Amino acid sequence: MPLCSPYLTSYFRTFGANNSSAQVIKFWWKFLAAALVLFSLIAGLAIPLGPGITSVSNTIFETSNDLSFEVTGYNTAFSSEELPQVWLQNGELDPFKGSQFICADAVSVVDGKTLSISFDPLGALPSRICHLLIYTPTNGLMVRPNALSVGSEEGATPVSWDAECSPLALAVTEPGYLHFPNREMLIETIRNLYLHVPMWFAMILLLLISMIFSIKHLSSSKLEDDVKARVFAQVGMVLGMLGLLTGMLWAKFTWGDWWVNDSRLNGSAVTLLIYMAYFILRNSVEDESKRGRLAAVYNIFAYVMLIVFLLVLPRMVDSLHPGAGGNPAFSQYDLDNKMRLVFYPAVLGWMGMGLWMAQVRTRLSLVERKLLWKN
Amino acid sequence: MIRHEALLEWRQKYAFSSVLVYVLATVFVCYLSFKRIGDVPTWNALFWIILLFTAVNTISKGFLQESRGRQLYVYLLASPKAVILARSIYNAGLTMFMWLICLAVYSLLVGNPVENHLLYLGTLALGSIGFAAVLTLMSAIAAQTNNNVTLMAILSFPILLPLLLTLITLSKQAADGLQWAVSSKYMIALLAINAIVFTLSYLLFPYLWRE
Repeated sequence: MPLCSPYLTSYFRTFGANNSSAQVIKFWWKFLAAALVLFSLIAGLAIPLGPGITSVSNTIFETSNDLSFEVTGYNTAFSSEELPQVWLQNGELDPFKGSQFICADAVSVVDGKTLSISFDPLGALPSRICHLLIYTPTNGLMVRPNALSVGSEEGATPVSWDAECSPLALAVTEPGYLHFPNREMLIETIRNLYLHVPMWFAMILLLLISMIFSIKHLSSSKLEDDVKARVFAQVGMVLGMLGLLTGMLWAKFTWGDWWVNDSRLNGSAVTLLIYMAYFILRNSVEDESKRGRLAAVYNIFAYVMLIVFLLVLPRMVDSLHPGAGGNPAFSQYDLDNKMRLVFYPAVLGWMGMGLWMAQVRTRLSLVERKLLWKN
Repeated sequence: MIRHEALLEWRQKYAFSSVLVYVLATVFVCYLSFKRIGDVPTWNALFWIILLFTAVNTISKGFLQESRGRQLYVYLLASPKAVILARSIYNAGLTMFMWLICLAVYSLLVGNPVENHLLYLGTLALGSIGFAAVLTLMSAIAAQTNNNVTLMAILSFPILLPLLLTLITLSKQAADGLQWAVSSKYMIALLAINAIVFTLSYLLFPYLWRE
């Protein structure tokens, strides 16, 4: 073997690497980032959604008449052997125990995705909003909040509650396979969480690094720091644009419009404006050292205002966006454990990819400068 | 230093009066196109747009119209921190003065639905301080580039937005006659933003100044 080794090293040298396993160890974070992104993409797209209810055929009913409707499910496997249990829940959905339940009188399975459900006249209800709950052992408990509402209460007698009719007594089982939660309105777009949110996190990190290099540049006046500040801002802005695009797709699906007047959305648009201004500023100065100085000052100022605009102000006003105006974002209620399993790798992965991209671009810029000086 | 600024301003009376005329003309254009605005949010929004452009026009004179020779002279006389402090405070005063004239003319022509006057004036005062700090630094940056007037607007507008949005919310509350307690949250936010902006421009300006 000793004879062999010079050949081996020369072999690796010709391919620009001394030792490939050493390379892997040296650049472990790049491989980790790529693997994490790959994992989050595959897992995020391949894991199916859990069963859920997508539509209810009539949503307004009168309490004095018979109530019958059809329910369409998503990823459900209804079958006549295992007849689903169906309840209407009247009252607050969230503190599950406080409200009262009404059992369905007849449930029949039309096919694997459709149920036909009927109730006797319900009588006057304390709350006008009813939530629909369906349970089968294979599908688990499916909830459709605000599924039905009372249209008119004319001639209704007060409701008589059947104390035994309640899903609380059930030992609720989850579906046996790995799945993401099936949420009303979001449905399959819940996977966008693994792209949209990590993009913004990575952007904020990269812009922070850009600002740090700007501070370094002001104290050291090294051109390299200025190049790094520029490159990190560039990559950050690319990620920001991707975050904006994925966010717009999501907004179109859930809120019905590409853009809504919302503090969080406007903040993100202003972010991109600020960094466009930063690049325009860079381009309008010829002298390199002066350009570095001006851009660094602007970058620091801009980043601080950005944090104020993106992270502080939206919390003060009402907003549709999660994480603002008292809306939950990453609470336990919102993000379940299976989603965390993909979400956190995605965040780390995209941050790593951003750093990697910035590193490659930095090298490119420095080499370009060197070539320019040579000629 | 502040006296020096005021003296300079006095020597450039034409610039000062040009901004004054600009303010009057803008308000008059708004008056002709809107007559009276009954709707408070619209009234407020339009007013803030006028104020924004007034502030940009007022403050951009400072560094942009100064000759290189005079800059060198000031540079020799005073430290950069003193310069930015004096100029920011002076600009804040000047902006406030312009805004008060704006408010007077605007309420004369377009009407004034404001109910809590003290809070409204307080908002204007806080706003003028923040605007002055941001715009003074931005004009200092823009003055060192080639296409400075356009760049001034490009650089400062996105950065002013957080400030502007808070100001609009607060002033709308004042116009609606809400009490101090309701708006204290925004007041504190505004004070905090002002403090941040002032500190930043105080710290960063010396780097622009040295050459």
